[in-house]
Amino acid sequence: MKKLFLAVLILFTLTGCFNYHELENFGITSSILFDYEGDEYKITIEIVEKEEEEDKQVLYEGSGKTISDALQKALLSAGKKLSYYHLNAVLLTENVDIHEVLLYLIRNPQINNSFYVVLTESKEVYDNEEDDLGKTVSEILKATKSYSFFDIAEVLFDDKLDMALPYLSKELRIDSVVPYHQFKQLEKLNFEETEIYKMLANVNGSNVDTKCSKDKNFTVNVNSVSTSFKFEDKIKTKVKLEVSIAEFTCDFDLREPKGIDKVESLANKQIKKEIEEVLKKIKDGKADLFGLNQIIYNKRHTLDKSFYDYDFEVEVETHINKKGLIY
Amino acid sequence: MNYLEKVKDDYQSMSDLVIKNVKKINIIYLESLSDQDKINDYILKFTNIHHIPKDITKLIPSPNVKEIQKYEDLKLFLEQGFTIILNKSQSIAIETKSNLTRAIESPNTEPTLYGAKESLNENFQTNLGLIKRRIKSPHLKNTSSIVGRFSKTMVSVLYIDNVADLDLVEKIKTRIDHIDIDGINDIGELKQFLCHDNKNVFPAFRITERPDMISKSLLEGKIIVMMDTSPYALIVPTFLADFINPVSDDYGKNININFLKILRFFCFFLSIIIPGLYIAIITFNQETIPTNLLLNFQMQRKGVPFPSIVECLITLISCEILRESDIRFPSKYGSAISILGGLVLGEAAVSAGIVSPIMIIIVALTFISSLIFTDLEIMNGIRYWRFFFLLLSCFFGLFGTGLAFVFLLTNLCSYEIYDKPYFFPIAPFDKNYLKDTLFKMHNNKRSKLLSKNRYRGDA
Repeated sequence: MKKLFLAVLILFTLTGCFNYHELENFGITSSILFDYEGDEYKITIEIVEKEEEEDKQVLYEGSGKTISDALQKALLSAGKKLSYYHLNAVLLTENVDIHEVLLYLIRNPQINNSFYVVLTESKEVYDNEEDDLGKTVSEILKATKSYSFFDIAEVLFDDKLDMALPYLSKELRIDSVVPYHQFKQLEKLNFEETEIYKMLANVNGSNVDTKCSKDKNFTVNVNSVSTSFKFEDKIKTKVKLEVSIAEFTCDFDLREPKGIDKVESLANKQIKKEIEEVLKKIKDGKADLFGLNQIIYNKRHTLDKSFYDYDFEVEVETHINKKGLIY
Repeated sequence: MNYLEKVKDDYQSMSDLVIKNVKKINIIYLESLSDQDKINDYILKFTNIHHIPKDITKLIPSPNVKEIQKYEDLKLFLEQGFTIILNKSQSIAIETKSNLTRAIESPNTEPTLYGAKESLNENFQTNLGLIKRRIKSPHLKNTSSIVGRFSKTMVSVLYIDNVADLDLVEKIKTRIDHIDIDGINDIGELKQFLCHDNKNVFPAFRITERPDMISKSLLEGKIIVMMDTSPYALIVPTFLADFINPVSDDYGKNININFLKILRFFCFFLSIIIPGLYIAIITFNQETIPTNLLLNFQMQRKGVPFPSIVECLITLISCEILRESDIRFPSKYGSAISILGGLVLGEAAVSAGIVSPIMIIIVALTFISSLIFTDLEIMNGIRYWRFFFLLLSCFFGLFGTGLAFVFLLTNLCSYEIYDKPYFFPIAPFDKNYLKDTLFKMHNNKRSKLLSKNRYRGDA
């Protein structure tokens, strides 16, 4: 009994209530925007609150020489304990040293790791009348099957790997992707290139537009994609696609097997061409977005030559689904 | 001094003592305990005959006539409602007890939809009869002893001699024989003497009023302790698993009953953990719940002037008060109390901004979960642990909840009553008893712990 009493006494006197917060003094952070301007970090924190069944967005801002300084100032103006456990999105502008921010985030133990990281132009994204921008952004990115912070964090610890971040326009659209090499920004991939990038990253749902004559074309939706890279003197890229036809203005008859074959071969050609262009862009920027260096290393056990020293060989195999529904 | 003088001396200022002298025969009885008709039929009628023989036992038509050997026996018989006849050469006691008990009623505390509708009452003989109607075997034994210097209450131990553990029977009998007290009024009081362990809050014995439950327990190899003047019986040994195992489970289909059994087991822990878990989550571990839910909680907490733990304690304690008053108050007023309490707690407290609506839900869920147990004592045990969980959770968050859970498990696993582990059949594990209690499965063997005679039948 004495022992128990002692144990309880120690428990209550020496431990205290670390991390105790009442809910009403608690700021649920939905998104943070990092900006860098005039030698200062500018941080905008978005907090969501609920009032009368409706979400309400509250923004707090702070600036400082370091990220910690800026965050501290933002916290002072909030007057609440901020929780990052429910963080949905981290928005970065192009001026920010992305490496530093990502390292800062990964060092913070009181943060979840399932939020999305996205590039944006400026603070103006918050001008959209959204109740909870962080949530909206995370939903958009979830729908486009982007990688969360958990996947991106891998890049921080693997020198061979590079990453690409989605770019959020002012109108809250994700229509381009920015590749990075050693955390240095490369040329943006435009909308069409992003669709191909998604294909290479094994993400379903992209659309490819193909011309069959001068003013006639057809579009295919990618229902399922399987991309694999192999290294044998060259980097062999094999893309297998299950597609369905969306738009079709060409002359040939789709009800004939010949027509289908033609569509497939035209699509193969078009997709192959586009993939080659994207791969060339990535190769020129030296950004290893698909872990190619690791594939080469696994085969050769040395990295005296990187993936950009080799040529690519692309093979596309398109298969049209649901032929019975085509007419 | 002869018996008559002694009786007159001992019972001098007792208004119900009747001493009649008919033809040199002294007839003594206590009016309050005896049935006048029986006295008329058995005794007074034969006094009309001309010649009364020396041995009057032959004249008496009563089925229960006892010869008195010593004065102590005479007193005991007299106080039990016997009529004493003192002849010149003979002292006999004739059973003329009046029926001072109520009729057999349907069970109040353990009602079931199906199954027998009989319950024990305050008369020991009636109770024994109800059990013997269910087990017709010469192996069903009962040994009785008298407890209480003044009350002289009969306490009886029932067991099936070739099924039950006879060592345990002996232990219980010894305990009963060692009770030295002025009087006991109910089996609940007797319970305290049979188990002196006051450290554990969970009930050491199960109390039942159902003869079918008693018969089931006897067949399992358990021992029953019954007492005159109490409409309940004790089942020894009792395990925690027994409390979530009402006898009506035996009357349903296995597959449906199993669902209920899992639900009850879940409710047991739910009722202990919920308030603590809620406090831990909203004050320490907010990351564990989805954002939308947290936002709802936050919105509801706005305007409540107290910290969550105080809010929780206010609600829990007012519910305890409500429950206690509901139990104590006459049932005719009970519904009024419930409505008033329900309204005050549910609606007005929220409108007044004293507690948040979510807290009402949490506390209601806690109480509903605990109400699936019919035994009041286990509900009290659950309440004790609920507050313990709450205390640790409000200081240490989910870590505290985990800590309290470890305490609870340690406590349950280390509790023993008459050397039988309380957390049986989980720890130590026993397949046969598990099939009878926590699950309902086909089982034709008794548990090793309860009986050496393990075979129940081919069914």
